[in-house]
Amino acid sequence: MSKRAATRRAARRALLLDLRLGFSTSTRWYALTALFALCSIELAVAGSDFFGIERASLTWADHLALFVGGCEPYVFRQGLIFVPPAGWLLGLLLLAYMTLGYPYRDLMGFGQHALMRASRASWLLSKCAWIVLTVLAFWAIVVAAATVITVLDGAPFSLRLTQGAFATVTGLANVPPGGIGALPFFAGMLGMSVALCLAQMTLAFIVRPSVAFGCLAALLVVSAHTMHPALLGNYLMLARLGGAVPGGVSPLVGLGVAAVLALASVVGGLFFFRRTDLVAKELFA
Amino acid sequence: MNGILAHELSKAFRNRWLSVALAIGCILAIAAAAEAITTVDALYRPMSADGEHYGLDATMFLGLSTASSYGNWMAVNANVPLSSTVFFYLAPLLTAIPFSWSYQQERDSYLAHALLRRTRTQAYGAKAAASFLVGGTVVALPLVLNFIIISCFLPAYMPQYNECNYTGMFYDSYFSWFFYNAPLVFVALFTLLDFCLAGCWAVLCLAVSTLFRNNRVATLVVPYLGLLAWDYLVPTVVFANVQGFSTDLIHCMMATHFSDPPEPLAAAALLVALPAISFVLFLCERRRDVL
Repeated sequence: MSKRAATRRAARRALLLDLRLGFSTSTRWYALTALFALCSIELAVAGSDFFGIERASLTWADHLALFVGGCEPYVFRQGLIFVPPAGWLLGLLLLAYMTLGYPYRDLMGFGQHALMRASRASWLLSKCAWIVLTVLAFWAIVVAAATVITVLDGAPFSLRLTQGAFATVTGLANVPPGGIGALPFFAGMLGMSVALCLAQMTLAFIVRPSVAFGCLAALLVVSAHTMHPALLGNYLMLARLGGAVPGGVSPLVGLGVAAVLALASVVGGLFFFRRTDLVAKELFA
Repeated sequence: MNGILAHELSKAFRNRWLSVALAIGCILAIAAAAEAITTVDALYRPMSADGEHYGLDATMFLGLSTASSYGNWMAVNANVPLSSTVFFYLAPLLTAIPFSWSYQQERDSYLAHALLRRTRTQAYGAKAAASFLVGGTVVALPLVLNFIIISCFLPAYMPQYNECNYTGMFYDSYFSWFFYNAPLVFVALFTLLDFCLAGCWAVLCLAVSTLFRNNRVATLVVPYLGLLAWDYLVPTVVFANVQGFSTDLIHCMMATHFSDPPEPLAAAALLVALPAISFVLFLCERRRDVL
């Protein structure tokens, strides 16, 4: 077998091992995600009663979008402090944590052995693939939770976001009677969450995982405070959706930004990773 | 006990991760001060244009609590700088970064040897004490720095209770009597409260680390996620009909609040509950084999 073929084979085996190990060590967290998604969506939908909205009038897309409902941007008033939406923050930080630990731990553990057989680039790309699949699995669980609650509510299975969902999280939205299409928002949300997790991984390798997590938490808090296209957390919030909320962010722009961020994270990670001394790197979070 | 305590304190305070956490906290404190100063300047510049001044040039006392150093201190936050919100939301992470990982890292090495010469109570107690002091320092020092910077730029007007809607300090806020009568004492007391809350949180993170094997990321992040979950679920589900009983650590560290000010009992409950949970976790760890 040629050296190139051997390297490719090692890289494939490393990827399969990542998928197996990475997912098997996260089973509890997937269960927790399911529980949290059910609670969060149920609490958000139950809260719609307060605004005079019937549960059965909320569509499947509304149920799913309320997981990332968020809040209105903060309007300055002396003495009125800003409180980020705890449910929104918790859901996204849960995803961030699930993609945080495994790559770094693997680098300090078995991964160092794997790197002797496979190239650094293939190891890193394998981790990127693992992160993408983890994010997809996370959102699949949230989708399943939204589906369960939609069925229990007897709500329609529609991909339209209605005024009812927006009214639960913001008083600023103006949605036409037929609702607006949810696919661009969901696509932007998915893309941005993948991009942020990849950026977190790269930062975790460069600095430390805990610092990377802290940076992401800070970004989300700032994004909840201010509505601006440069604050990436806005693309992960229903209450900031352009087309429904005045001055909102465009999900298609978010998808573009996410693609650039993801590419930059992977390329930057490859650049840093090829030059760093892994043996001297401290095992510390 | 003194020897091991001194050694733990030395490790905790001569730790580069303390410098990192303090640096992040101080940067946020300075940013919060800058935001508050520019906000006050922007709010009151039109007044200056009309001939009314504030500070030493004031021609009449306008009772500008929200223009004073006490009103703009990070914990009071009358002009709501974003940086102070980010600081308080990152504080539980920052307090854990310097030393809460030490038990997990040293369990199989240094601690295993130390336990040959000291009892577990002494060893765990020394670690907990060091963690408490370091965790409290990470929050208290930026608060003090912020107050010093603010005081260099804004006048120390006595806060006026008739402006409580603008400062967010109501009669049942923590230490509000001191805020309106002896504001410097208020600053000292509230800094001490935050020091104790942050220290207790750092000890809890240290105790939680006994549950994880070789997973330092979990030691730092899982308690933080638990705190957010508590903040989200408990007010909504458990205390939905009980106004004011906020047991959320982050909001107990802030002097002003979003809706009803919390009961002082809530902060006291945290100061008892956090060490109690840590104690139980250490007690369980005592039964486990270190090696």
